Amino acid sequence: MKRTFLARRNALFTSASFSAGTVAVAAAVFILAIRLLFPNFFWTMLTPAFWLSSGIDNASHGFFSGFKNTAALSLRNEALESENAALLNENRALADKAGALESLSGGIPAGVISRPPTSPYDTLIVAAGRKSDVAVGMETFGPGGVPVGVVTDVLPDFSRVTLFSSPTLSFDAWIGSKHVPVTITGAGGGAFRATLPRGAEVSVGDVVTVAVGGAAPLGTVVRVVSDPSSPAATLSIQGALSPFSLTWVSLRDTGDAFVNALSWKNADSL
Amino acid sequence: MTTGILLGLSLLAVFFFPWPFAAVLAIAASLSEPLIAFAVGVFADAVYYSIHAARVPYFTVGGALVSIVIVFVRSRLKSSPVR
Repeated sequence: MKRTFLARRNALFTSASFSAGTVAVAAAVFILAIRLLFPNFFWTMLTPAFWLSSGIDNASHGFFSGFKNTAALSLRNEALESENAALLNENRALADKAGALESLSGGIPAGVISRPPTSPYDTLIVAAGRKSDVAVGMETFGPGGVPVGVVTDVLPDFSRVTLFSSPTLSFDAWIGSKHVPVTITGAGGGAFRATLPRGAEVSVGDVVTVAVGGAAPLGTVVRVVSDPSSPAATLSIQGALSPFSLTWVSLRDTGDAFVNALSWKNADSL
Repeated sequence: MTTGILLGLSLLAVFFFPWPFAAVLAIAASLSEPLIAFAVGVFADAVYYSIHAARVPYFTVGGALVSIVIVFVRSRLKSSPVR
């Protein structure tokens, strides 16, 4: 019998999209299920990909920087070589003392396996977890003891650090030599925002300090936007460390006071 | 074939490149396979989402929106008398 109608075509489930699109969704949901059910296995599985990504990132950075002015680079290279020889000697002496200092600070060193901008939520994934005595609420410090975030999830071998620059986070800090109190809000990508009365004595270049493990420098005021029609001035603050280049961090418990005072938009506390 | 390559690249880009690059690749692949944007969004959130870092899983929601928009546009084009 001759058919007098055409089969209705569905734009979502055409034969082609069913084969590739739905398979992709099913695979993504399967991976999501692995993360939810076996998170430590999930991160163990992905770690080689992240290390490879980190290696490529470093190599490409070196490659592209080679295209800069070669004459200037050559001069700089000579100067750096002579400096390098002196620093090598100094480094040997310092390396001997590093172990002792680390044990004094009590920090847990951890390699960063995922960082912004690859990681889109202002979080770090670090290769140290419960087995290394990492706990939720530990503060995270970058090179030079600069505070960068707080541990929010811990697995046996990995931890997730939410950066202080995450837009979901607010906390108290001080600005400048006069210690003007201010509430800092994360602005993403290692930047922060704050609002102060227009008359507050704050200017570009002032250092922002937080009470993490004593008084630690968080960043610097890079812009003060003051509208004459508004009683408040908005500050743009650049973090002392760029989260884009963090490769190692130190995890430390400096007490509950600062972590308990953190204000989360998504959760009451850790 | 091209769609498959774009799908593979956008999944790899989740690990190797800044997220806007992965998003552009996923949108490009979705032009021929609408569900790919949603799949890449779910995958990116499976890797990176944390409740402390964001209120909603933006990439899943964004991917779903892109897929819906592309499905809608494709259905309009198919029913259009102008081809």
